[in-house]
Amino acid sequence: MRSFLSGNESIAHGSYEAGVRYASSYPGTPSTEILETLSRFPEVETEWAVNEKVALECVIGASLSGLRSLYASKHVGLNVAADPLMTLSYTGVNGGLLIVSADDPSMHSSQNEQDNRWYALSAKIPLFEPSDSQEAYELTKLLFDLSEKFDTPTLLRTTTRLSHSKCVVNIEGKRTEFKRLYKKDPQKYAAIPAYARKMKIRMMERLDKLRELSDNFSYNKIELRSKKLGIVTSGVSYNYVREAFKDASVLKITMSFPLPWKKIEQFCRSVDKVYVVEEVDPFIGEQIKAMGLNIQTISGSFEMSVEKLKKEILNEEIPKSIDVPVRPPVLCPGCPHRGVFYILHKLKLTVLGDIGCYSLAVLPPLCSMDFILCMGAGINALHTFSKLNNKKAVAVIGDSTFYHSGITGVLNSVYNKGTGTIIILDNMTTAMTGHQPHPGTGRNAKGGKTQKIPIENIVEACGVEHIRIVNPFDLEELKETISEEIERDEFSVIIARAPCALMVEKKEPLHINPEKCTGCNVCLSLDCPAIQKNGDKAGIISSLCNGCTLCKQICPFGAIE
Amino acid sequence: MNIVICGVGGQGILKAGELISICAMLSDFDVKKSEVHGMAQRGGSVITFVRFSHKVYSPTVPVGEGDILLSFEMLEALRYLKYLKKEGIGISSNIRIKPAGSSYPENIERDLQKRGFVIVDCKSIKDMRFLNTYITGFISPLLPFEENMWLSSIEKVFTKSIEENKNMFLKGRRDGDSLYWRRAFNRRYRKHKRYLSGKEIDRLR
Repeated sequence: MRSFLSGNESIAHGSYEAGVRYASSYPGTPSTEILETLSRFPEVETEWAVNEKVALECVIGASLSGLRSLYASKHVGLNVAADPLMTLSYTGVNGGLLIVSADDPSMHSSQNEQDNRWYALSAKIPLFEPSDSQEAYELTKLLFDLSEKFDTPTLLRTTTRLSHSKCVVNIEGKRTEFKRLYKKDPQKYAAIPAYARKMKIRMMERLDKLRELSDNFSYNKIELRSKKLGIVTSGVSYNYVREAFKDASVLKITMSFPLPWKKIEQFCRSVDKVYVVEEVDPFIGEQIKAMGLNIQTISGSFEMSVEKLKKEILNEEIPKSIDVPVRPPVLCPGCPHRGVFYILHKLKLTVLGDIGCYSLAVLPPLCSMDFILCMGAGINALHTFSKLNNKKAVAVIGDSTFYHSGITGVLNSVYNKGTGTIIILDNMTTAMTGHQPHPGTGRNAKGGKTQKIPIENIVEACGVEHIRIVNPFDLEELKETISEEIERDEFSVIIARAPCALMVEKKEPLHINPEKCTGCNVCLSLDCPAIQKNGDKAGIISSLCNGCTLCKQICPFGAIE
Repeated sequence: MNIVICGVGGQGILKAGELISICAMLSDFDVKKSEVHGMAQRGGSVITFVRFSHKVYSPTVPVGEGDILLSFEMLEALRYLKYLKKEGIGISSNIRIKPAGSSYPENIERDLQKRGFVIVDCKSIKDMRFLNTYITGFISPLLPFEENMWLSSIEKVFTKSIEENKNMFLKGRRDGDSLYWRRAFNRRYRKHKRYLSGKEIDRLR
C-alpha cells in the first residue's frame, strides 16, 4: 500500500508489523508521533511513561518477559534513560528491543543538539541511521530480528528532517506475532559484579560479530560513479549528497556502529578524494580517521543541507536572507502561564525555569526566566541558589515536567531544609508537544480512564508544609501569594492551576474603548498576540482574544471592557 | 518542482502542504514534505517544503531553488524570499500579522509587488479556517494536477467541513485562474506554464 508517512509514522508502522507488543515513551519533539501512531493499533500496549528512565525500564521488563518492545524519545530523553541503557547492553535482551532516539540538529525545539550516536559507541550496541521514511520502515522491522539474533538492544537514530518529513512509503500492513519464553537465568539478567564480568566478555564478542554483520549489511552500500569525488555519508545527509553531487561516488552507511571497515577501505581506495558528510558530530569521520585513512569531515554544528554542502566542497556562497523583524513563537492568547510571568517580572525575582511552553517567557517583553537547563533542574538549582545565598528566587516548572523529574527535587529540598519557593504551572496537560496526558489528567496514552494523581497530594506526601493553589488569571491573588511565600524562610510550593488555552472553549473577546485608551502601552507588556498597537492606541484582535481578562486587570484607565 | 509555503503558526500552513503533497502522490509523483513541529507552532514563523518529481532526494528546498513561494502573510514572504528562484513565482496573501515587539515594515505590499509577487486579497475570507484551502486553490492552476485529484485529496486531508473546504478551494482556483489569465502576458507565468506542459510533466513523473 502506497502511503504518505513521516519518519515517525513509518517507525510506528514498522514496529507494528514486526509484532511489537509494548511501547513506552515520554513526549518530546521530534519523537512524539512514534508512540501516538502506535497507540492507534489495538494489538500494541502503549504507555506514556512519567519519564524516559521509567519508559526504558518498562520496555526492558516487557523484553525480559519475551515480548518485542520499543522505546522512543528525543535525544535529551535518552540521557535520562542512560542508566538502564548502559547495563542493558551487558544483559542483552529476550524479546527484540529497539531504542529510537530522535535527535534535533539545529535545535528546532530543543535545548541542545547532542549527537546520540555516541551512546551506541559507549554502550557497544548496534546503531542504524535511516535516510528516509521508507528505509526507516524497513529497518525498524529488521532491527527486532537483529536484536534477538545478536542478543542486544538496537539503536535507531533519526534527526528532525527524517522524523518530520513525509515521503511515499510502501507498507505491507501485515503483522506477525512473536513471543519468546522467559527462563530464569540470573547469569544473563542479574548484573552483579561476578556475572557482569562474564557479560562484558560476551558483549565484546558480540561486538566482533556485529562488525562482521556491518560489512555484509546490504543497507551499507557503495555506489560507484565518478572516481574523482567520493562521499561517505549517513542518515538524511545521504539525500543532500545525492542532490548536490549527482556524479559523486557514495558510500551510504546505514549501520554506523560498528562501522563496515572493509567497505570503507575499499571505497576510499577506489576514489581520489573522500569527504565524510554527517549531521552534527564527526562520529563516522573521526572513526575513519582513526583507521589511518585520509578523509575530510563535513559536520559540526546545525543541520546539513544541499547549500551547506556546496559551500563546503565547492565554496559556493549561500544567498543571504533579507533583514526583516524576527517573529519568535509566543505564549498563546489566554495562556494561563502569562499572568504568572507578568507578576514575576513585576516582582523582579530571579526565576529558575524548566522545559515547556513557558520557556517562551525568557524573551522580551516578559523577560522573566533567567535559567533553563534540563527537565527538573530549576527546582534543584533553586535549592542551593536560595539556601546558600539567601537570595529571593523562585523555580518554575510545568505539570508534566513536575511528574517527569520534579518530584525528587521537591523531596530533596524538603529533606535538606531548602528555603525556596517553587511555582508549578499546572495547565493539566503536556502542552508543548501537543497535549499528551500525564498522571494528573486521569487519562492514559490509549485515551482510557485511569487514576488521577493530583500534584498537591504528591507535594504534601513529600513533606511540604506550605502549599497554595492559585488561579493564574487572578493577578491580585497571584501577586499576593507569591510575595508572601518568598518572604517565608521555609520551602513552599505554589500551584497555579488552569487548563491550557488550546483545550478550553474561548470566552467572549474583550475590546478596547478608544475614548478611554491613552496609548500608555501597559497592556502590551503582557506580550499577548491578540493585543496590537493601532496608531497611537492599543487594539484587540477579537478573532484571537480569548477573554482571559489579564489586560483588563492591568489597564490603568479602565479602557478594556 | 519545489514549493515553499510559509506564514505564521496557526494559519493552517501545514495542512496546505499536506494537501499539495497528497495530491502529488495521488498523481503518481515521488513526493517529499518537510516541516518542523513543537515551538514553531506557537505563533512563530513557519515554513514547509513540498517537492515532487520522478525522484526527490532532499526533503528541504535548497536556497534559491523554489519554483513557487506561497506565503500566508506578507512579512513572511519577505523573510523566506531567498528560497525562490530568480524566475520563480511568488504569491502572498495580503494579510499582515505584526510580530511581537517590533514594528511592521511599511509599504511591504508595494515592495513585494516590485519583486514580482502576486498579492492575493484574502481579507474577504470570512472564516480564516479556510484560508489554507482558498490559497491552495489559488495556486492550483500552476500545478500539474487534475481538479478531481485535488478534490479527492481534500477528502483525505480534512476530517471536518469537507464541503466548505472544497468550495473554498474551487473559489480560490477560479480566482487564481482568472488572475493568471488576466496577466496572461506575464512572461513568468507563461514560462512556468510551458515548463509544466505535456512532455515536461511526463518527464517529471
